[in-house]
Amino acid sequence: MTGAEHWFEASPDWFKTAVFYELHTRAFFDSSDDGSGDFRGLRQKLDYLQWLGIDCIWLLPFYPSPLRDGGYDVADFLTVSPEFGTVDEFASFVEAAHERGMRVISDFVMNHTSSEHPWFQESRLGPDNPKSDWYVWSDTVHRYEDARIIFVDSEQSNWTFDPVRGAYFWHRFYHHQPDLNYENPEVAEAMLDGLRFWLDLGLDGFRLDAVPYLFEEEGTNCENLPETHTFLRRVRAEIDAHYTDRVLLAEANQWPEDVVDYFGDGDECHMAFHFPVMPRMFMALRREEARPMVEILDRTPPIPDNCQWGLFLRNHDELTLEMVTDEERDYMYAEYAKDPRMKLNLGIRRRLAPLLDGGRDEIELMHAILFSLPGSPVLYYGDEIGMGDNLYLGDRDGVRTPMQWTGDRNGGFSRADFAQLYLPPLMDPVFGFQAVNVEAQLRSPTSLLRWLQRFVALRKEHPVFGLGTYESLATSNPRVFAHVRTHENDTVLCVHNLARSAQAVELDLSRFEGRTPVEMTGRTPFPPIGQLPYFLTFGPRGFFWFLLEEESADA
Amino acid sequence: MPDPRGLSNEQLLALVASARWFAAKDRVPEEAEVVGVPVEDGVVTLAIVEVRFGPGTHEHYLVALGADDEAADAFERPEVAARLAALAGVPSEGARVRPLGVEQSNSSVVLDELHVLKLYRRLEAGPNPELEVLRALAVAGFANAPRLEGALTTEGPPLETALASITSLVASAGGGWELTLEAFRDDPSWLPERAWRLGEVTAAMHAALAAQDTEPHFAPEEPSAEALALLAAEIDEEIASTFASLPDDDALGAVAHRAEDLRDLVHELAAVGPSGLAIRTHGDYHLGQVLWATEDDWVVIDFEGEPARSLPERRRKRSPVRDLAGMTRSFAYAGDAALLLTGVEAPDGWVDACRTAFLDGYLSLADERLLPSSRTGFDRLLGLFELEKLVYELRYETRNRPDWATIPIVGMLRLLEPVT
Repeated sequence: MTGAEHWFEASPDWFKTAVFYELHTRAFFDSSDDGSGDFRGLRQKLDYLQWLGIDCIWLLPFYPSPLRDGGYDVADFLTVSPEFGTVDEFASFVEAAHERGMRVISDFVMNHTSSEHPWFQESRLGPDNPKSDWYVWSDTVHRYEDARIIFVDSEQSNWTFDPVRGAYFWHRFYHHQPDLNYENPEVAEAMLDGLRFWLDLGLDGFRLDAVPYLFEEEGTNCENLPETHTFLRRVRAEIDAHYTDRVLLAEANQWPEDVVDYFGDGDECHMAFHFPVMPRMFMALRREEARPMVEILDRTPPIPDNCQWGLFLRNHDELTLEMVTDEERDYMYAEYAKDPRMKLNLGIRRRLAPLLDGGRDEIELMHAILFSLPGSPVLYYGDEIGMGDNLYLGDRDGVRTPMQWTGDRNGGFSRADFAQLYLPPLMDPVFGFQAVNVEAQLRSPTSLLRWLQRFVALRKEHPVFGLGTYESLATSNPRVFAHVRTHENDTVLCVHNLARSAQAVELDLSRFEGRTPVEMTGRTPFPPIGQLPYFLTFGPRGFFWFLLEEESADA
Repeated sequence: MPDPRGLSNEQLLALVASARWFAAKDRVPEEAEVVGVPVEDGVVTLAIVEVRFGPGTHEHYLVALGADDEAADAFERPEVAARLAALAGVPSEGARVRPLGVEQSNSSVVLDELHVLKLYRRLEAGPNPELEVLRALAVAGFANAPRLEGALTTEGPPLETALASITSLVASAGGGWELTLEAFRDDPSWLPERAWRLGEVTAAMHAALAAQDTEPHFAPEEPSAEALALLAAEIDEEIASTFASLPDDDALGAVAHRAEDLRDLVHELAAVGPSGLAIRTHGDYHLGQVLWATEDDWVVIDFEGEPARSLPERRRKRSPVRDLAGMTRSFAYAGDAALLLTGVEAPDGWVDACRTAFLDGYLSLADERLLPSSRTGFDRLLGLFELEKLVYELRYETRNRPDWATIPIVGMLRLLEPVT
């Protein structure tokens, strides 16, 4: 098996200009007609992802699992769940992706296992067996009481009593997901072995699930502890010593000033999601003002040069509202979750298109903002065609329905009987597969899919979006979000109208005097910049990206 | 012996950016740096030069330096070529070295009238398609291609790639393109008489490429359900962007307003039905890539694929019909350029005669698994690939050789005829 270095030029910063695409193997394409997607099926769809311009595929967990938490309850870290195929099929999928110039990272659940993992089954047998302290056991529930409960809708405590061992075990998520005990060096070693296993098969890195919670300490909220960072530095050192061009992406749903700690001094994770900016993009859109985004971006500390933010509009979880104030959360619920079924934990379990009422202008504007911000965009499968959600499915399954390829049976996802499918495909008249599918949108040059493909290509032509500095720009109109990105000789001005009405704005661009703004999608030169405020008008939810060229574009 | 790392920015840029094989002619290189020296042995130094452009992108090029202090490319010097051939596995005295014709993207020399040594200039990470294809063709026993005799590769860093290859020299009367043009004066039926055989050789080449079914990079594959739709979308985008930037020129009048008709045509042609298995192909197939060998048969050369495409693109499995479209467009170019280039007009029906003979010859030997199941489907897929070529031709000619733009224009009008 050959690693990515066989197919790619050595480039430790590749992830800084990459476009990521998050998908469930289960939900993408079923090659075996058993109702569940698999790696052979995924491999058949690589041409599609390559066409879309994807640089890196992020796979949700594909490990054996009782599936009580969408596969985040892992029962064995060292193999592939049989429904997805074999380890060989996984490796050949990764190789095929590399061959097409795409990288692959996968989820790795660091914090906990399924209660069905053999480690836990052994550990619960009693205090005398070799794995007895691989998990966090206690005779009382009155420890670590300052730690919050994350899944507030389903869990009452972070402790659950195990009748077999006659003791309580610690879990930050579901009660069937016991937390591993990282105080035990054997656990740390076993998890490193797990990482090495997949890296040796050619995987390009990991999205480290739930990293803030690895260690516990009395008197703290048990999040972001120094021991956790020490362990991440060890993981990073191990990877840097033995592998090239791999990436660690931290899932730390925290405030920016806490998340930046996961970059360390460039010696922990390469990437971390910027969680707080996401809900504020939705807030800014509904309030028709740029302030929420500008504020959080101004509050975001600088990060080391070899690091990058991961940015997203939606993902496989609920639209999380953990990193907003109570007041802001109420606002978001009122605006985006009018039906109580749409709420889950501290968030909203809906997909992008239904959140935006299917508005094409809004979807385009949100992508434009996403793509213009400093970071690497992460798209969620199905959002590129504007797929909907199914509120009548439990937990987060409503945003994890089968990919809609065609208007045929089962949306072209599977040839299995409908009843065999892991989840029913969407069939409602607005977002169902007969209305929303890849085949139809490929045919129409004006479709969302075709627009997004062009937009991804545009972003990738300009490394400035991944590598450049970010500077917000004061505007005369609070409904307009404007900023400047600069990298080497590329200077890009991005201006977005958040209002649902036409707007005008004046920008002070005098320091760019003499330059000609060239609109990037159509290469149209605008009047050159002078000393006076630069005046722009927008249609509703309109936006412009300008390359500020030194010489006239006509020259 | 010069240390290439000691060359200045200006020297490196002069060495690379003015060379014929420098691909980014429409961009301004700002900086150049030697990022790897895979060969340094006293006679020849191969240096990988990273050329950087304004927006923060870069490309890699390979330069060959000799033993003296001169900062000039030394590939064509006998002692340098001979040493590279030896490093690639073919000892040569280097007594007789002559450069081989005009090449756009690489450099080749003929050694001792026995071997062709090719230095790859624009380097990309990944397996070299030419080496892969020549090996596969040899394994399958395809005789109408040069024999691969050796190769020189590097594992990096900065990248794993092929640096040079050496193949047997094919004794030939010349390339298909030049022979066809020469023949217009005295014997215009030269190509029509040989086009059937060209079709047969092409079919045999595709059969050989499809024969490696245990080698994953060659095994024929059922294209994914949306493969044709993706292709149609790509062509559609190309039409849109090409026509949006067409220069204001009366000569383009005949097609300038036909963009929408062409886009409709894409949809019509994309209704192919099952299009057949996708295989590794030649990738850049035209009359300039076939030689009329002294044994009175066609020999196919140059398997690198289109130089403008990225390596993953060039290695992609595709319908072999795409190669056929490359060749039929090449016939149209020869027919339509005859007057421009030779002062002699091609006889009426010349292009059609070549095309019919070539396709009939191809279909007489073709592996049916690789083709659409109906003749209508085959004709449409061929038309679709021809349209893809035509759009590329129109963009290239209007930018580089406006006098030639009539060739793709005529071709487009011909394709549009049935639907107007």
